[in-house]
Amino acid sequence: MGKLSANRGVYMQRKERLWVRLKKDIKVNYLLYLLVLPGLLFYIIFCYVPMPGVLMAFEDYQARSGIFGSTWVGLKHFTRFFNSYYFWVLIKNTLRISIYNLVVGFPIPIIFALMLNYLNHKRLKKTVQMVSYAPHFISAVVICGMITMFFNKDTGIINQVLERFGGEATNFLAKPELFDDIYVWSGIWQEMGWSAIIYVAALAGVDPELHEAAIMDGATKIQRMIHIDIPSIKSTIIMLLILQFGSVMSVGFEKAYFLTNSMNKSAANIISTYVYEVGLIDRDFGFSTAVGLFNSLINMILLITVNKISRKVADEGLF
Amino acid sequence: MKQKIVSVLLTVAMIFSLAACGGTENKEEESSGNTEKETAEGEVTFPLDEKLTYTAFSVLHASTYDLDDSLPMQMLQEECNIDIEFQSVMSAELSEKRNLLLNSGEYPELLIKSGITSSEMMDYGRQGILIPLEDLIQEYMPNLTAWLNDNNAWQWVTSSDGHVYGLPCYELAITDWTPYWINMKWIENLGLQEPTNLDELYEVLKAFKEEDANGNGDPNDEIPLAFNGMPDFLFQYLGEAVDSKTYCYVEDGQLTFAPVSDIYYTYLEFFAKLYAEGLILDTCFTITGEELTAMGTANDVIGSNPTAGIFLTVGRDRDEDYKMLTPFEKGKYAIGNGISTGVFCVTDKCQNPGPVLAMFDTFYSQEGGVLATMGVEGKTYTINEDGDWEWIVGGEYGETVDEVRGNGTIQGTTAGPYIAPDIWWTNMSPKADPDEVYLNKERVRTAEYGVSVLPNMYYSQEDEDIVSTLFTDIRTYCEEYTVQIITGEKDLASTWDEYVSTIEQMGLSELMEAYQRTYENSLEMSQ
Repeated sequence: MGKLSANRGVYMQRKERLWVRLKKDIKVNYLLYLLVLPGLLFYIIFCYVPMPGVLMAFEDYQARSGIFGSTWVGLKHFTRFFNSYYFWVLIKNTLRISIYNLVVGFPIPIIFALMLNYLNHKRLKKTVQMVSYAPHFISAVVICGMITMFFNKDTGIINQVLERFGGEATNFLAKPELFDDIYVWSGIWQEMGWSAIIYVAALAGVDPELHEAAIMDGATKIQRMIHIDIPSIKSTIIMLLILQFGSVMSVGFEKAYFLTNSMNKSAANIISTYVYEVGLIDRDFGFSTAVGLFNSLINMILLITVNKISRKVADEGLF
Repeated sequence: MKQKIVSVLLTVAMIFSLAACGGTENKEEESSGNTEKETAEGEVTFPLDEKLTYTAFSVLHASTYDLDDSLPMQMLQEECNIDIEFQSVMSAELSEKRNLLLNSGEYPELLIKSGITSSEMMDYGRQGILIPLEDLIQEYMPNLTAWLNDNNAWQWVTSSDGHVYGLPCYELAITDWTPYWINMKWIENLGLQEPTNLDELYEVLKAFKEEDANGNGDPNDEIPLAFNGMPDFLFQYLGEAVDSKTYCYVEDGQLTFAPVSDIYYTYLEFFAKLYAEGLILDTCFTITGEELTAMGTANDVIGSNPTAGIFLTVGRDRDEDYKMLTPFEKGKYAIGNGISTGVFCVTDKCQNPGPVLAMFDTFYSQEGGVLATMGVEGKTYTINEDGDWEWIVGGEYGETVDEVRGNGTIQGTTAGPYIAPDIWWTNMSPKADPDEVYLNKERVRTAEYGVSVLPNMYYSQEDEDIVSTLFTDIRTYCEEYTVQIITGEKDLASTWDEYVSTIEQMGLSELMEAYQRTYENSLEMSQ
């Protein structure tokens, strides 16, 4: 990245003001700025503009009085949440699903990308890649509908197959102990191809000379993966890992919500569904904001800690 | 650099505060304009000289029928020269959409059939989002005023702050819980009797399972008890009349929270036994209502089922095989009073609520009730020579009773702004909608055993807060435990004490104090 802007070349005078420098840079690299603009707008509109809303966590929010006019109650909502029966249940469920998802879901796209990388048949490679990332574009509602249908006890295809082979039909979605598996593995199926794209791109940038030299020395494919490919994409892996840690506490809301029923609720009750239920259904906005804010705080702390660790251990980090 | 940041922040803050000021100023203007207009208008004569337009939020009946397109609303809007622009949503997302809308500040003038709860009404009323209607009702709604006076019903529509925030709907008083239907034909096939206590009910369900109750030669295709969701219908047969909103029953003036009482132990024990022996549909907690209906209408496999009307589950061909299980004991069967509140609310965005209230007053007379619930004679219903009325099926308004009801009336999905006319249940012809007639007959038959448990509960603001904070969590935990016990995941005898003490820790005593206080105050107020 650094190279790119240097090549494009704008001479930056140290002494000039940021604004002036920025203006000059925009003149030269206006296309790049144009490219950044939609992303920038997205963050401004959806992340920064609503930010005063966190104030709701400290007040008895009433729509009429608004964010700036509602009664200030301090940490009341937080105390209520920490003392609530659901506090530990939610934390446990959220962490369990999320760590499972991280441990299994993180390496799989890397392995998948490595395998793709060694496919010599161009056509086949493209097809596999496209087929594997297609599910990413299916909305969570549809995915959950599919899961519910496939796992249906009487008519679901999975139980049909199981019964054909002498197994016993099981009501998978009714078992709290299976909820994590269903949640995580369906997520892997959906996102594996999409998450692999970034690794495939990084692998394409590996210097072919390294591979040639390794082949000359008689390295096997596995050895080449371990000694050339993985070290080359190490920084990408670490960056994505840190980012993933930053969202450990935010398990996707939609899927958890749509897959919940009264039998697996004990395992499926996570922070984001709880926020939805108390906030939007019971319209306890202050309380639900407090829970959400707490969630974000934990995420932030995790992100910073993991980044620090990574800086120390691997000398790589986001910031 | 730092200065820059500070100044940017300040600017942002100023923009926000300006926006906030702007918002409130507008509202003040609106509401002051509001009162002026009212006094200027006075009496309303229809049709209005000048067309008035209102906006409204509503539910789609059966996810299909827009209130705006229904025959009564079309006629009324035309006659009165009032146009209501409806924003209608599916019932599954009704409460979410309603709350989002009301809290966003961009809400419409009217909430018609919005499913708003009484505690929400009080909350939004207190905030000034909903306007008090009691004076407007007296001024613009002579029919409703007369009905409320005659039936001494003001107490049921008034919030604890003394205001009326929503118009009522009146229908026949029926059981407070979901009615429980049992297949009498199967009972006859097996030479049994209608159960009169829980043990007999168990025996009957067991016989359904073990024998070929439906007589098709296969003794294994019967599902003795099918339901989806929580089987709370059993509260009707546990020997205490339990209120369905608070889950409390009254004993010597003291409220008891049923889910931690002995009757709930019986409830859990009963279902755990049924489930273990395979007498309950084993997908009961995951199956959807539609799937259950598909199962019930396809074959004669359902032995008993809790549902508002059994034809909703088994279709219209076999519904008369079933009857509502007669309550075991008189006076221990909770029934409602037939009044639903909050079917029509007015927000402070509405500058001139008089005319539209006067328009809806039509539905609060006998004739208007007919229009609201049955439509127009000759179009959606006819009256035969016996003086009974029946739906016109196959005409302009639909091929089935359900379609005619969707297109030709404002009934369905949630209660609406009308009083159901007497003719609805006194003279419904068995020919046109035998299922509804049968349902009503069953409702009347069981309602005789009924008792109204609680008065209209006037919660103070503090008690309302306590209840809304504690009840949801307690109820959620209770449901989780119930499912675990029923499915055998936990053992009842060894975990019951822990369950009760967990609920106590969750603030049961505080909740019960709030209920008890409110109950006593409300008893006084309604006298």
